[in-house]
Amino acid sequence: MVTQVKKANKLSSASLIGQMMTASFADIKRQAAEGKKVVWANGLPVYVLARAADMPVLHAEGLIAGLAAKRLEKPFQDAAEAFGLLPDTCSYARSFIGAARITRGDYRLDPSMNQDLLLMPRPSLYVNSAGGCGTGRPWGEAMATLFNVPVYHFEPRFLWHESDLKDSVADFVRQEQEFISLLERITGKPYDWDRLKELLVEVKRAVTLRNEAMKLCQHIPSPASFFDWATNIAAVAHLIGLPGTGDLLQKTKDEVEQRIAKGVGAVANEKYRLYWDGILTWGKIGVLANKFAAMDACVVAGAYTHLVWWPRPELIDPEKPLESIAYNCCDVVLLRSYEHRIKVLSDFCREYSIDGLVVSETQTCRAFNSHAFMIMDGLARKLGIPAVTIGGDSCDIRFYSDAQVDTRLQALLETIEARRKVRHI
Amino acid sequence: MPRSKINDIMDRFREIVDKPYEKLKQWKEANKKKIVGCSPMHFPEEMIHAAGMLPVVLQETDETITTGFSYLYPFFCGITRNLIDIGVKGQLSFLDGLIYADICVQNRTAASILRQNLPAIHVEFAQLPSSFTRKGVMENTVKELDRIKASLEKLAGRKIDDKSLKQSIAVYNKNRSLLRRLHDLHKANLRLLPYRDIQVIVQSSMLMPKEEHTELLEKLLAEMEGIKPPSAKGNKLFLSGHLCQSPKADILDLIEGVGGIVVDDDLYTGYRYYAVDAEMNGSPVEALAKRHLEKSLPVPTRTGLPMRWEKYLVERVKACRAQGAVVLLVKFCEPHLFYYPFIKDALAEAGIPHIMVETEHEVVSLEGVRTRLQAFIEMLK
Repeated sequence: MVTQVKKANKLSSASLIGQMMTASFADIKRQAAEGKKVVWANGLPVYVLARAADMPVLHAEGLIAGLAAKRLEKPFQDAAEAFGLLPDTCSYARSFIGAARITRGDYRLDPSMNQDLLLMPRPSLYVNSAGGCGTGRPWGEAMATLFNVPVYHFEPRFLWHESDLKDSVADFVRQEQEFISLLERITGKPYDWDRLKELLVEVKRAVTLRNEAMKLCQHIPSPASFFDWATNIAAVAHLIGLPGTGDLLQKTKDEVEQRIAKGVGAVANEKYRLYWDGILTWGKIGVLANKFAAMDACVVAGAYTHLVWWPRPELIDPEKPLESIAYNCCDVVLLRSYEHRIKVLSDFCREYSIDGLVVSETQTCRAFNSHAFMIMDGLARKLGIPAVTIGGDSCDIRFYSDAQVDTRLQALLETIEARRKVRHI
Repeated sequence: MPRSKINDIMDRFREIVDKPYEKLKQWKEANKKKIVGCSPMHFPEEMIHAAGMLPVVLQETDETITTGFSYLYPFFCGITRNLIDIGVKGQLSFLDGLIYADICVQNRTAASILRQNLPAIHVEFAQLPSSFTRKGVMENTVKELDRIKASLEKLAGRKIDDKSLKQSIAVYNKNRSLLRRLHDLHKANLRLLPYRDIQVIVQSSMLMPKEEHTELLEKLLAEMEGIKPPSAKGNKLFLSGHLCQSPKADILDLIEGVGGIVVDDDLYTGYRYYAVDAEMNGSPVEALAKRHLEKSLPVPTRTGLPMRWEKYLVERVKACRAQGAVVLLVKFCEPHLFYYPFIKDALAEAGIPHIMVETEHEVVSLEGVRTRLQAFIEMLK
């Protein structure tokens, strides 16, 4: 008898993201060819400020995750390693520096490669807003040195005390003002505040729809999975503020609602509901989605999808654009203390009926791994929810092992099963 | 000088460097004073000293990491893992306070994990601005130093007034000036002390009461300045890297054992620690802020400095006429990882041969490093 392999029931609207991303890269190149000054950026979407100044933005994580998901990132990593960057360096940063080396012409691509896909227009400005990851500083400095362009480093404070948020937001607003002055100097034009407000209207619509749709996954069975939301990050990161993102997320939400009405889940026979902490191995997103589905496990929420990109949509007020952006860049999970993280995670576990926690190691990202074991331990103590770590990395496939993921996931699900039996005794 | 006197003083220094936390615990019991540990690089110890407490710069120990693995993955740098490990094992429990300065995400992680797991210790996190070209950076630095000052006052149970802070700055400046004298003396007489001993002297300065260290160092310098050591034979090398912790003595011995002579460095437990003084004029908090902002040597954890690290390094190597550079890169030290390609290219462009040695908390294979270093020295010949 042939065993039917169960596959993840992906949201069909997610496939539109790929098309929008491809179109956006083409658009950046077109605008650069027309003489517009391009911004390269990493981290949180404060770069939406540059969009209001009519500067096209190439977002590191958007570009690299997109290519990695299609397993096309290797030329960038080869270029970076030929430059002398060791594989222990953040793979987002390493790949983006590789992209810079290729763009500069320091590393020749094999003629058989898709040159158009891998060659980017040179930047006139670099923006680092790594949101709590110190890696952004030397990364931004490296990029600015390679291209001999100005760099602006956004520095949100680590929220050592809960009360630090207000001060951090006020300081971040001052940084935004300073950044806008820099944009005015580079473009030679006064900043377009009306355009920024218009963009924030679109941003609010998009992120609110996304958050509402994600919350609908509290439903059992969950109508979508973490892997759908991971694909969908692009709509609120690289594509943020661009036309069509709100419509795309409206379609996503509609699809999620329709699934709930029909009783359709992201996983055909949902038996386990999991939470994902950490980034995921982009090159394995499809494999992982199917692997979990095959084991009747649905990852219904995650830190990278739910707590990083515009985590405070309710605080977006287009009439107060700088404060709106500041709150959403200062209140991200990586800037929060362990106590706060465990509280938020506990709330998620209750709201989303979580049975287990999957911690993705993300080998080259120390920021996301900072409290991994304490979170696993803390959650077990507080709610009795078991956890497991799985190896991998955001964009370097070499750190991923299928066999290890299989074994560990199996162990997690067996633990959940055993706990259920104990409860029924 | 009678060698025995030098040896006696060196033994005093070595005693604390070999077993820093045991010795500090004993010191605390004997002196009944509070001790505050500081993370390496950016926090001004003077402030703790002015509060009547003993500041110590946290040092990596050789202890094998065991319990620490329950808190952190192995792909964090050695000092981060080591301090968490010995912290959760109770070896830092004698500390009254711990101050971490925002250097990198690993450092921050250590601060957070230790705060959570060592509730009896007052743990602070100093967020001194890292982008030096920002508007209002001086005001922000002063504001943060004032905040930490208030926190230390609470811990110490006494005020830190300007007068006591200035006195502490003077104590630290004096110690730094003596370390610079040692630096010059070493450059002039390369066989006076093995390089591992220079490291021991700097590390002990981070661990002992400054006044005591200064007294011993003055005696040591007075004795050494009269010595005429044999002329140095070997290949002159510049040591770069290790931004937070001292290189293992085994590595330093290997470098000298294969025919290298360390003529100068930009290590944290070397020139970086004592290169720059704080001013004695005006507000002492501002003087400390200025030392951080305006006098900082190029470092990969800060941005907007007047010169990038690789350019500074080439200048330093040229100035000391080293024949080559040894770049000691702590495994998983991300700030250094990002700069290494630029350092490699800058050294090559300046015609300075270099070798990069990746170092780890767990010394895996010294023989492999020996072979590479031997080949490098052969190449220099």
